[in-house]
Amino acid sequence: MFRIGALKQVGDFLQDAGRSKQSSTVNRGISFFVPWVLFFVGLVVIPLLYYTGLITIGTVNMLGRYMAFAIVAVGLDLIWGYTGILSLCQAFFFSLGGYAMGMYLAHHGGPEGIIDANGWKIPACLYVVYPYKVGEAPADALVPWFWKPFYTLPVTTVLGLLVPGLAALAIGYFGFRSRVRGVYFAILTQAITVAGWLVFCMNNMKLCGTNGLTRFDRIAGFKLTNPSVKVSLYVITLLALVGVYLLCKHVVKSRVGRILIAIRDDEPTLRFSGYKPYIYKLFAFCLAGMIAGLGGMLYAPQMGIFTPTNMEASASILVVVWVAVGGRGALSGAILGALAVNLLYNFFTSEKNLWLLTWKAEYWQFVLGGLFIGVVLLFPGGLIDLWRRLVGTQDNDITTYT
Amino acid sequence: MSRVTIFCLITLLSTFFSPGLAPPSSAQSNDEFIRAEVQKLAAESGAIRKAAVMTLAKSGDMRVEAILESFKLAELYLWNDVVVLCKEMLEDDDYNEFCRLSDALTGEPLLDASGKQYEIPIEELQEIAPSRAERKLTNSAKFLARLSSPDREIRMSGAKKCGDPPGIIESVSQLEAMSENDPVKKIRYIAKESLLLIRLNQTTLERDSEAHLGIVRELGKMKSMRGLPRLQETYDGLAQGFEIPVAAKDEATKTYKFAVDQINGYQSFVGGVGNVFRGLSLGSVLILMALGLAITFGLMRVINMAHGELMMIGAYATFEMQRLFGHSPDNPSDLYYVAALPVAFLSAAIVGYLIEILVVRHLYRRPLESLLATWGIGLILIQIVRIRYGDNIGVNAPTWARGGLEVMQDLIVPYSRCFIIVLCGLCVLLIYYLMNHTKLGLRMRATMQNREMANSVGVNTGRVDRYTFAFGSGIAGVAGCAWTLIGGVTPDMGQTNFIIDSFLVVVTGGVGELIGVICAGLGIGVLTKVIEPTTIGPFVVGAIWAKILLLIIIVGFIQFKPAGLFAPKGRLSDV
Repeated sequence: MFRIGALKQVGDFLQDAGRSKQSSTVNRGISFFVPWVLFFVGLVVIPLLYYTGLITIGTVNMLGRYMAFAIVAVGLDLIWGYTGILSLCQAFFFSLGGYAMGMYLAHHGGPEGIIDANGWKIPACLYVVYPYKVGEAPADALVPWFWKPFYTLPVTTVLGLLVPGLAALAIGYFGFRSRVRGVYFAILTQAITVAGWLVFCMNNMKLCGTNGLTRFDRIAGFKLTNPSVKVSLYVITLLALVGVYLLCKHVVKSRVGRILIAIRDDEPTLRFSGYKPYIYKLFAFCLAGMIAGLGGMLYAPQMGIFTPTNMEASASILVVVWVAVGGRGALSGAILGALAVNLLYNFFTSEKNLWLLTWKAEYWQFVLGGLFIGVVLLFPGGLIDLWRRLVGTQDNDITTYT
Repeated sequence: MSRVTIFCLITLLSTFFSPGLAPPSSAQSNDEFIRAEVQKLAAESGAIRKAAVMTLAKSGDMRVEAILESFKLAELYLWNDVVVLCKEMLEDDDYNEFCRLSDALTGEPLLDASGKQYEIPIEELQEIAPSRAERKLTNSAKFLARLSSPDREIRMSGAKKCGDPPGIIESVSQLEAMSENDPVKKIRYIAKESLLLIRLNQTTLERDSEAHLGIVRELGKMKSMRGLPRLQETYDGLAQGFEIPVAAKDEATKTYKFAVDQINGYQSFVGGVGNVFRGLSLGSVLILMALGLAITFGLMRVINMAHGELMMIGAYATFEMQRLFGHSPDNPSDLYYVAALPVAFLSAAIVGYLIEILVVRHLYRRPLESLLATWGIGLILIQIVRIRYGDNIGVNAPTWARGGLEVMQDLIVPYSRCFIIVLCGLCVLLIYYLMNHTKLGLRMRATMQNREMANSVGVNTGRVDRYTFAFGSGIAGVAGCAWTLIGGVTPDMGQTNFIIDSFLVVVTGGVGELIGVICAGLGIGVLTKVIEPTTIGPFVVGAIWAKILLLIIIVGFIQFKPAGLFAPKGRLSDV
């Protein structure tokens, strides 16, 4: 359990976090510029392109979704790249956030529905799924209790962060306390993700089963189909990404960040010097979980549907590949990787005629598998490291993983 | 001793062959007797026809069932005062109907002088139409006929049918004889059960409650599954206080309750044993999977996420062998499975060998990276198989793996699951021998304990790694081959069903010792299958919650034993 000393440590590092700004470096490399270039492009160039008619609203919406993925990737980089803990349940936290927002949207969506005995409107997606018959709900059907808190946007936003955070706290507490490390922790989190996926797929959980949450209509009173709402959601996602990036930057630059890196590089030594690594791990894990939840909350309204496929085992490993491709141990790498892999996905899942063969969408799995192997064997530092090696700049922001 | 054996053999042989040993002369007279009775089926009077049906049913001839069936379906006709069989109607261009005639007894075509089958216009035939009561009687007579069949399966089904509601009262005397004298124990049991069920129907609580309750007690003592629904029904009626005019109502309720509890208790015991057995076979597959994982992780500190796909390759290799041998349910060719085992092993081993030299070799002691790279390999393998074979294929089990052995009353152990458990045991023995009694095993253990030292005393650790990895992969292929007997085969079977479960086995068992994997595999397999059908209040736990419960148990377990059941001691433990 937490002890007084441990709490004091947390207090210490939060104070230190403020002081560490003085130690900012003069030698700024690519990993410093990449995010700002991306943010500039995202905030100025993309809207300009849209308003001049060069790209469609669909593209803006797609980029918005990829930005939400990038948020998750930044969180994973914090826990994997900096702390050395491979978590395979980021997709689960992402989905918890997504389901929170999805329930809010479902409350306010769909055609005019049925009012239950207590005066609650039963969301349309809820009564088209078992245990009710399609399109009709029995007279005694009630809105389940766990749907009710998600009726208002502020509460939903808080819960969308809190629920993944608490889930991460529970998983992390039991995992880190018994010093489950490395692959063991990865496998454990993977198993938890699969378990969560199975539960969310069950029809009688009243979470809409494999159909997922559908029939979204309005967010805070605005129509989701309205292009300007889509652009606003895109901008909000981008700003959230900037915020998350700055927050994580702040954490890793602080004394806590140093301790996290120490955990990654040599946990026993840190433990022997009197630190309690599991508290720092727990902090990083919870933060990463909440960030993933935020990503899910921003993803749901832009996607227009939220299904359990978002927390399949493969989805959680996909997050890892985003970070690995971008370059772990560099927050900007995570953003770059998430965008790059998803744009690749977008490119390769459309059918095209190449010189001799027809490219089919199903071949994407080969590209993805190749990415997994290639990024591990050929360029373990990811895109950021590749660029650094090509240009030859020194960059003390990157702490390469060994 | 030998004399006893010979005596047993003779008794056995005589029970098997005695009906076939009947002298031909009696068969001849038997034929005439049956022909005479069949002729009576065409009689004017319903009483004679009914008597003929019953005589036929009790005659003990094998062909009677077919004749009665034809009689019921009105396929028998009278032609020139002889009963004949017509299963086929022909129609010429002018819509005149003709019947193709066959012999009523043998079913062989009736031939005219030129050797052609008779085709007679329908007007020349006189239809034999059984009344509704006769059809009903014939139906039960059919089952009665089965009772005297020499084939034990037919006899067993006959004995069963005679007791099913409403029960065939005419069969009582024959069932009585069977329940005493039938050479097969199972048939004696079924005959007695049927007999009691018929008597249960004949007696009632109101009229002869003593006899009735005696039968109820007897059924309870026999733990009769077939009696349960009827006993339960009456018991529910009694317990809910329906107005049943019974003198000693409490006594009746008590007797019924005792019998129902007896049967239910036995059934849940049998169900429990069956679940444990299913768990053991699931655990065996998990062990086969986890052994390869544990060995490669112990040896090279790499995690092979494509292990499930190697299993899938084993399953598809089995499918290919089935195609090669042309095995199908209608045209079985059981040899294919014998060939499939080594082929599954080899094909998975070859793929594993390639994975080792192409990818895994570069990732020693980097488990997290190896996890990612091998997951990528898995994705590629799945997609290749999916493009080649589509999403679902069917592997038909060889004929010897179908059916099961009834070890106890109502407890049937499927042969396929027995086979898997035996196969797993053999593989474990093989691995034990390989690890402890061969040169490769010696080198393997040396490399596992201290790679540098092993290298410096001349062990080619690279080669040891390659062979070990290929061997572990091959075992996964065998697991895939075994799985085809009890489960479905899809391209992503490894990723969705097995890889995580078998890793949990490794985590729980620890990587140090094979015994850890075996204990954890059996434990997880049995726990899964035992938790699944458990009921909590009105809810059945089910597959999904069982999985989650198990996960919670495992997480709780590693709170106390973080390195698994059998953890390596000392420095090795710090991964």
